[in-house]
Amino acid sequence: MRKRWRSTVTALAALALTLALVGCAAPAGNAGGGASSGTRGLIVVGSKIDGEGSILGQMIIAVLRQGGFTVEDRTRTGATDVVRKALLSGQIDIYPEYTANGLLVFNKSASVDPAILKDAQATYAEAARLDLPNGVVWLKPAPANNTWAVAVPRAFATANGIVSMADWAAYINKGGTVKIVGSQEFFASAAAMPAFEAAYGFKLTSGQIVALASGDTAATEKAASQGTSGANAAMAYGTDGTIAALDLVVLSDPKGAQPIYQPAPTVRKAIADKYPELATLLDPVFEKLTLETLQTLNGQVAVDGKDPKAVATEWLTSQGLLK
Amino acid sequence: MVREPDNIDPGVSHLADRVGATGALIVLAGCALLPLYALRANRIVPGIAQPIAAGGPAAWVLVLLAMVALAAALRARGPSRARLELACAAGMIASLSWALAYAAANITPDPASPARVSIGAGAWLAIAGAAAVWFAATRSPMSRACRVGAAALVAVSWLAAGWWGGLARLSILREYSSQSDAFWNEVGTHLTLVGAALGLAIVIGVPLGILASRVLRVRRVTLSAVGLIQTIPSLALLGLLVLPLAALGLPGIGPLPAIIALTLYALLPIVRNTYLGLAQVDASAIDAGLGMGMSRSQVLTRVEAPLALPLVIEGVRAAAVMTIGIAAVVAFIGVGTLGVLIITGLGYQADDLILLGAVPMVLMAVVADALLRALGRFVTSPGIREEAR
Repeated sequence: MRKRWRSTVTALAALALTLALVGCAAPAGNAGGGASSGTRGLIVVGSKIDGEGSILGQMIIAVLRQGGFTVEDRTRTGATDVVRKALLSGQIDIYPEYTANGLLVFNKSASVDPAILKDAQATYAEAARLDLPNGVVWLKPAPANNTWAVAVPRAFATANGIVSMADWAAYINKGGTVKIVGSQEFFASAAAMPAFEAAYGFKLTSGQIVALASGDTAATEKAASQGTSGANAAMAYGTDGTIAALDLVVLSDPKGAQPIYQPAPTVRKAIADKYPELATLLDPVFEKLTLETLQTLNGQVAVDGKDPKAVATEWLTSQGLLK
Repeated sequence: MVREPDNIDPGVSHLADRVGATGALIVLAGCALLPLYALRANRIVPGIAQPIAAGGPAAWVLVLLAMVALAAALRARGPSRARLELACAAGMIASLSWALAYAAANITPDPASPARVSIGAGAWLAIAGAAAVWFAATRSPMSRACRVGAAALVAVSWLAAGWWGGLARLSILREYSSQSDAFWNEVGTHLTLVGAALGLAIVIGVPLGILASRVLRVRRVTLSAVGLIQTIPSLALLGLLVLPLAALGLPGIGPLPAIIALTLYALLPIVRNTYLGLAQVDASAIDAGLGMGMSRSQVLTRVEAPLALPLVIEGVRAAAVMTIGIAAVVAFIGVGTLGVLIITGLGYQADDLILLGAVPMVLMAVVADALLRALGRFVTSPGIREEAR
């Protein structure tokens, strides 16, 4: 009997020790690693947790690996604040971010000239300038604007002759039935719905709004597409891949009421200085990512359920960017 | 103290088995009122309910077995009832795998198309009902061969349906196959984090529990502190950790805060059960040890530890099951884990991706629970086990 419990105590101690050792030996965040060897240096790639973030992150990984870097895959890092913190604290070296966020989200001190936000080039230049003191370098952005937009069911658009925000405003002002689903931020943030209202001269009443806590456009678009709670419009992002699959159309923004959100790799300055070739490797990729391309690629992930990695490498190969 | 499943009085077998009958009725309700399978044109559009016949012969076998189980629960008596119920429960879960596989393979024959067949609400209800019948059957004493045989039937059937029957065409498994590398990475991260946190919580919590059983002041402070931590929502705790870590110059995101948070949560059951385990040791056992000339530390390791160990392991079991669940939340701070699949799935409104994250977590918790229960039984000294009977 004495022997029995001694052996079990030993077994338990061994179990505890093993668990502790396993935990210490493999720092958890690296478990998602799969670093491939290369001759240059190690680069840790992160991304936002959504589909577009994953695709862009996988593109960066594939191209850097081909360029001879050792790459650690830490994509799907988290929401914007988490992935940004990870970059600033050096846990990741590079991740794709949207240009207007450099002006509106990360630089709370500087006031932003509204004219800059309407111009893609100026937005990018300003984001890059403001972020340099934070130790972040912005590489070339993609010519695709992933901004806030309003999407409506195709049938509704055809029946009421609505193609632009101006048409939609006229429809609201003459008393048409509207119920739009969006995130709380979309209705509250001065740059989002209030900017549309000011530019096109309409005002939504609280009865015409369904505000959700989360900013997932898949949820808002699904609600509009199915008419959940009488919804017939949804908050959307310009490059969403779900719009066509849900039989929605995005209303155009002829007055440019919204800031311009172009995806661009953001790199820690230390890494960007050490490896200036990062720009030569990544610029050709982002140059080719148009709005339609991103919509198609996002759709392959969100709607068809393909692996972001497979979608990224397939596209890179088809463009001759990956051998 | 450690309850053997067959401790429950089987003497009620002359009455109708209400639990078994309810389970069988739930299966029948699932088949009759809700769709067993739903067709989605792509990943995000809502599913269209498919008729039960789309599952082929296996679907009708499921209905038939549910009726047999109902009849057995109401009419049969004695040990044969339990065996019949168990056979029906296993048969129902097994036939469901083939019905799902048949539906997936026949409704969506083209592997390239984004259309997919999802497990419908009726099928989940049927699984729950069959599990209830299973539970009802195993309350009665039964040979180990019967139990193992039933479990094996279920396992073999689902694996075979996956291999040959077209189950792999099912939506949740297509989510898996489209990102199997990422999936196993997240499983690895999940297990590593949980293992590290549990290991740390044992290393910290057991000494704390021992101390708590010795010193009254330590007991008051420790038990209320670990209890207080438990009341903080996990997402809030991750946020609260940012400031103190920043003061130490450490990152507020990544594996470090994740392991700290999980360890803090795992402490309560381990500290409390270590304390309780030692507190319930009979004073006469300690006296006997001292009387035999043992030192205080010898009494702890040779008398108290073996008597308290089953409760300590019970605490580790509770901590393990809890941490496996909470580990999903740390995906928000850039660590990975199966929570990533759930968050991504919520983002796409892709129900089956959410399930791909959630179902393995449930399985992990069930396996951890069973293993640690077995370990608890194994370390229970034969003396205590006799008492418990």
